[in-house]
Amino acid sequence: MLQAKVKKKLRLKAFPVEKFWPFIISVFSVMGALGVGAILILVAGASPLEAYSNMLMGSFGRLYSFGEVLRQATPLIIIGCGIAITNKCNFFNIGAEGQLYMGALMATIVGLTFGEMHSMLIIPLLLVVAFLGGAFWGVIPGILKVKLGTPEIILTISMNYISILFVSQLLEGPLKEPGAYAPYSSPLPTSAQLPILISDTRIHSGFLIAAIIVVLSYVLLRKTVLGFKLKTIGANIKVARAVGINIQKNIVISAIIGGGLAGVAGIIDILAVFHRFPMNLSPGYGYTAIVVSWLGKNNPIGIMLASVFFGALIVGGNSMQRATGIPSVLVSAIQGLVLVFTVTGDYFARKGR
Amino acid sequence: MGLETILTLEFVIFVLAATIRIASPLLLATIGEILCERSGILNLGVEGIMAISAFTAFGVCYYTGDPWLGVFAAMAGGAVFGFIHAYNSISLASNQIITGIAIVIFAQGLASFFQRVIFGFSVMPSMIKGFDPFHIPILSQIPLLGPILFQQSVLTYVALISAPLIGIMLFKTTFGLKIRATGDNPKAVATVGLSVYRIRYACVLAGSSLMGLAGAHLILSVSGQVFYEFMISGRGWLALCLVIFAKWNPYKAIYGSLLFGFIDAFQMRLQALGTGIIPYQYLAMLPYLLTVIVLCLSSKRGSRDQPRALAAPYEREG
Repeated sequence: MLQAKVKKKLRLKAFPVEKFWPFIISVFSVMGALGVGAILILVAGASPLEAYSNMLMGSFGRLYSFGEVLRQATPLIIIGCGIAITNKCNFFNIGAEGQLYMGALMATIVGLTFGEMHSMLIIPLLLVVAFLGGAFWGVIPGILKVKLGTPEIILTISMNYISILFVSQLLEGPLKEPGAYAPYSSPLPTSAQLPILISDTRIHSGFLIAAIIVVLSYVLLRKTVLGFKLKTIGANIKVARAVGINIQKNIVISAIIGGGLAGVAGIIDILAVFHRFPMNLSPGYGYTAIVVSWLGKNNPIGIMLASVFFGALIVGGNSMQRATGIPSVLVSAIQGLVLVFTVTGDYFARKGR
Repeated sequence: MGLETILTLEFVIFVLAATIRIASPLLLATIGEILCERSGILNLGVEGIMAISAFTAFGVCYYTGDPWLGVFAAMAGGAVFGFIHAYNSISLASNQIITGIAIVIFAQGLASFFQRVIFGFSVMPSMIKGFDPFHIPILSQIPLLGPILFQQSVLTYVALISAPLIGIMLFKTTFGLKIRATGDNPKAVATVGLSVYRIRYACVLAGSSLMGLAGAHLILSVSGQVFYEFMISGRGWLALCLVIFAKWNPYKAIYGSLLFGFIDAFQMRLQALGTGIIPYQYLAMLPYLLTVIVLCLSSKRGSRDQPRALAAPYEREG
């Protein structure tokens, strides 16, 4: 109804407003959140115009900064695609953070054990191990859900803490670099480094991997039978059962993929940026990716756009803090607010149908 | 270093007193969440609500010098963020999980933002005069129990009293019955003529105020408290786990919070003493492991105490 009204107002007879409605909602949510952010900046005593232009220049102004944006976006894209796949069958995976750590841990242990190997061998090996590690941590709640009916939300949150604490203990103990002040692991072999894509930036081939994952996820969800089955389970579980879809198996498969992708994201950051396992490997990517996947409407392309946007917010926020003194944490508040507005806006999208 | 340090009376008294001190904010947040979930609304925003309330309490107390004003401001702040969640979850019947997570991110970001803007990165962290430990006359002189039970902050006593009160309300009063019915079968409640929306709004707002109180308690309980970023450090999520562990029962929440508090106090003291028996991380893991075990045990075959309509969007018909 609302969409029909908008169409009439703008005199667009044939324009498919319906298809773009979610996108329009997202744009308005972002603008609304930025608006509230502007008020907060005013309260903090600075000029919103100055702050936001600093943000914009800070993220897109120079090649290096744009590189940072893509670098920040990479883990979000990978994890976000995984979460989208689990969301499709209504398996709400809040545990991406823990799966990331677990996958990265497994891969780090393997990498440290195997020593120097040819790049073409060790990098794929570590990616696979990371996928398996994350998948392992993700499949546990998946199996518990389908076999025991355990609600996965609190379960995955608890498992996050278990995983992170476990990693923390290892980093302070057996895995710790001898003689280091802070808990981090020994460096991984130099052959296990993802090369920089564009010189003078920090964009690494992890971004390429992320792009590939976007394509694969899109194909999986749109074109494969598995994708269709997952969507059916999510949309109407009774129909899925009636059509003979093995609900348990498919949910577990989605949990494996979701967890595995989170693990991959973790090891990519290690291979490309840190070259060792630091205690604070992830600044909450697992949680931010949930926001990103929602903003991207569980569509890998949308997720890519949303991740780049969030990356721009983060990088721009740091630049804004350097230039105007406004704390970069404002970005977190804006991110949360964008999501709140999106959820609110979704209501009107539904009602407008 | 080793067992000798642990088996001293001093250690035991310290840990037990710390247990109650740590458990009480957790208990408040858990009770608040139980209230929300009993009416059918899953409020994942606890962590964020506690963060912004703690900061509000700190800020108000700093500028007015009155910790009680800080408490009420924090509860009001909790209710405001609870309202955001309530509006989206109840009136708009949106996805409660996403809304909750959004509130965590938003509220945490807001708290950190205001903290840095108002108090900045100063060398001397701003301190406030909170609630000094309140010694209950006579009772606090009892040799062992005195320091443990009767020398706690005022808000601790508030927490310990409010839990059974909420329990009584929930299980013995008509309103409590209405709440539980709404959480199990909102359609039936609506058929009887009650307003599902109003009951749920009341619960979420009240529950969020309690979470705000929890945040205030965390920051105000000891005089000279400093507000630092991420000071909630996962206690909000722990409260969500505790709700499960306590099976949505306020009385069991008391025991559960004491248990979790004990584990936390124990591992913190161990960490401080540097005793190398068990790495503290494994102790810190225990509450979460316990939650996982409880989650697995309360399967679909067993009796589930979970409100049957929890987190299911409800739309008014007609």
